[in-house]
Amino acid sequence: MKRRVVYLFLSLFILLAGCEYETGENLVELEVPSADDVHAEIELWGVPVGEQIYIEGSTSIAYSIRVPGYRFLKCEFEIDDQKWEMEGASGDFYVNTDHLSNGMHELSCRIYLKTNSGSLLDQANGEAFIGEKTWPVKVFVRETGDIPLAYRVNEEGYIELSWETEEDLRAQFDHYRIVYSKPHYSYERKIGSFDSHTFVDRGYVGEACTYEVFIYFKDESIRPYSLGKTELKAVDPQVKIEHLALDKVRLSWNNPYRSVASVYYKDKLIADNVPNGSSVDIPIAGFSDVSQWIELRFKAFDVADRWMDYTYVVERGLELGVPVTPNGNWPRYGYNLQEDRLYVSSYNEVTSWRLPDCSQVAQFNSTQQPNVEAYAFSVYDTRMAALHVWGIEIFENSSMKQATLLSVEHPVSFTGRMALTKDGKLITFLNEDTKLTGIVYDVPTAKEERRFALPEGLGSVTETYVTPDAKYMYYEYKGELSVAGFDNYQCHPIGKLSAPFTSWCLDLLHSERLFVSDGNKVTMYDCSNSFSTLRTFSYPELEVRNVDPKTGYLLLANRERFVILNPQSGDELLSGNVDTSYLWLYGNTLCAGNGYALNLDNYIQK
Amino acid sequence: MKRILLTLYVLLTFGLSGHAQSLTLEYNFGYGDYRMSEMKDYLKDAEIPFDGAEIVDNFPGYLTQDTRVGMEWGNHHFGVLFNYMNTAGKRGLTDYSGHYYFEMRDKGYKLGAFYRFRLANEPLGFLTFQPYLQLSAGAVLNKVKLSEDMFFDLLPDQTFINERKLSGTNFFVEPAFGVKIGLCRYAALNVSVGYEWDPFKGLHASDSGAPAVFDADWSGYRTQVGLIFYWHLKK
Repeated sequence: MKRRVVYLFLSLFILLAGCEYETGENLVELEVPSADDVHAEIELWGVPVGEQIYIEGSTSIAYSIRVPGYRFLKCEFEIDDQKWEMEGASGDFYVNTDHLSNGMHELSCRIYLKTNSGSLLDQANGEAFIGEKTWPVKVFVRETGDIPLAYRVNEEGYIELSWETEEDLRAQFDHYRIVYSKPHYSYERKIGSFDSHTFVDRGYVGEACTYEVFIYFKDESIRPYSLGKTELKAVDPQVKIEHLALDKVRLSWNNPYRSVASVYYKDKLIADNVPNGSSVDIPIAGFSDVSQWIELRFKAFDVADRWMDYTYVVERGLELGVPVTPNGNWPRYGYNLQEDRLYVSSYNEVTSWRLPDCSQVAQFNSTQQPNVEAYAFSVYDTRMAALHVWGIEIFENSSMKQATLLSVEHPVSFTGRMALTKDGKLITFLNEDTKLTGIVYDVPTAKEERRFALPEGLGSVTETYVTPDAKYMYYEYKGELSVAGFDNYQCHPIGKLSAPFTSWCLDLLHSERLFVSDGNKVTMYDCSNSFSTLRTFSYPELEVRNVDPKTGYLLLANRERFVILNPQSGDELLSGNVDTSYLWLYGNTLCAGNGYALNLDNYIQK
Repeated sequence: MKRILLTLYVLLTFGLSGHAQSLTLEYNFGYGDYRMSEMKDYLKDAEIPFDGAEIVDNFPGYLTQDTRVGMEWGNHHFGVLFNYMNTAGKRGLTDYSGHYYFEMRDKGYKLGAFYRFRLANEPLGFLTFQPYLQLSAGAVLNKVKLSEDMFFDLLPDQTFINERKLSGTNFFVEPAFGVKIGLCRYAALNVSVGYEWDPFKGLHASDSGAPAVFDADWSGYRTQVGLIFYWHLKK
């Protein structure tokens, strides 16, 4: 009975299993692709590629593969047991020579290209045309080391390298190789004599570089190795700068290595092939807003050895004078005649300097006021006024222990130059609704004393100045320069300059005297009655800058040149080259836009 | 429904009291077609990673196996049944490089009860002609296997077969009309035509129990041919 039951269920199972629905298939007939017309171009970079690739050490090899008409899938590079699978048609791979023996190897590249057959395997990027290219590779690696390489400067002034070799290497010896290298440049020299243990490089002139000496063997499978290595720092050629004039220096140097030098000032060749120990006179800018430098480009002494050079740059010591604004940031200069003090400000910091030695007297940091916009000059006492946007600070003397603040309720637009008068007043001007108003402050009480109107119709003037003796007012309005009498704060026109002008300034101690430049000449006028010409000086392309209250000398300048004149005699006292847009003469001291001040007592004979 | 059950009870009571009783064992071989609408949609919309994939099989009708054990007396015949159905859906393609197919294979095991009411018993030579009405009901135990089969001739390492199994239970009702042709006192030939309706369907992942996004709907026409064997118990 049990057997029957088993047979019954077995039969039933077979019956059921045999009755399972059989599924069909969707057979797509496709043509198997053929790769007869596939062409691939491969280029390699990073190593010398000729009939064979030459590898001297671990290196990156870049490749680029072009397969017109096909889509690149991947490529596989292989050399010995190093293999790289690359997914891009261009890229690079790193060959580590630690795993390669010296000698011949083979680099292969297997390229996989999409067949575009549309088959399942093609859609899965698993079907590819495969192309292969191989290159013979010669691996010739040398082992670098850290044994110090001895060197010295020999009697002729050339660098001499020296090394030692063990005698038992004589039989296998092929040659020594001296390798010179520095960034982006290297060269090698061979010495075939085993007994040579020195090398003199007549081309070395003191640059930073590395020398390494290798020993090579007849059996190329033996890796050459280092006998010594030294990394040389750039030498300091001991440059000496001597100022011959305000705008001329004499440069001398001594390079420990035998060499000649080409001398450049701001990329301009001054002298060529100057031997060691010589000197060169170089015209420079006495003051410069932009950096200036001198280059010494050293080359080998012998023309045949000039395969490299060394440039030494001289940047310091070219500027004359004293840096009175250490950060050089847009200095504002002022001057007090009674104390003979120079005032220099940068941001809200005001410093005072004793002349003629340009030593600092005091420093004042205004905590409430922003940048100093301008100074007022006093020719009668020790006061100095510094104008800010929000007010005016009055210093009683150059110690600047405290400042009297003439504050204003609202930021005002002061116009023109301030004047500290003999009777302790400060006169300035401000623009209010295009109307010019004069303001008189009483300095001892720090109060605004009065305001006064200017002549009818006088609107926004470009430049206005009341002389310290409060006798004259000079102003520039609608491109015309005028002078007015100034008496008890009442103006009455005196005259108007009919000639064109480009710049003007006045002599603080002679308030009726005005200097005007028209771009070709400078004219000195007496303005007590009108513009009466006193003298003219022919100085094309120079502008009047200021008259030194101390000496009465007139400063003319443009961006590249300056001249100091004695306007009384007409004598040209000093001239020179500069590279600055800002230059003033205070207390017989030239003050430049680069923050340097130079006292001229040694340059101008009194 | 209550009326039907009451009628069945009355018939059985009268029959058992006055007619001969026979134990029956029958096997039917047949053909069924299946609605499977949700599975057809799922197969059609399934994401196939290759272009050119076509639906090869879309849950076609197929053979059924049916076994029944019952008791017959007079015009009444009732008992239990076991039935096996299967079909499959398949989408993909084959080419020279290999094949990819997504297949949904369904198996349904029906367990239930049946009742037949004989409409007539007419001699036809040495044969007897017995038309009847039949009602079957019960559960369908679903076994569904989803498989993804990818094979490349050149890259056997990239070949894979992913499978997922689903299971669940449907409830069915199947009215039918048939004819038994008595061959002798112990055997009869059976032919029937019916329609299966699955009003309640259920399917979920076998491992996680998560409900499936489709059902296996076995609803459809059924035709069967088979043999019935009789063991006469008493007169």
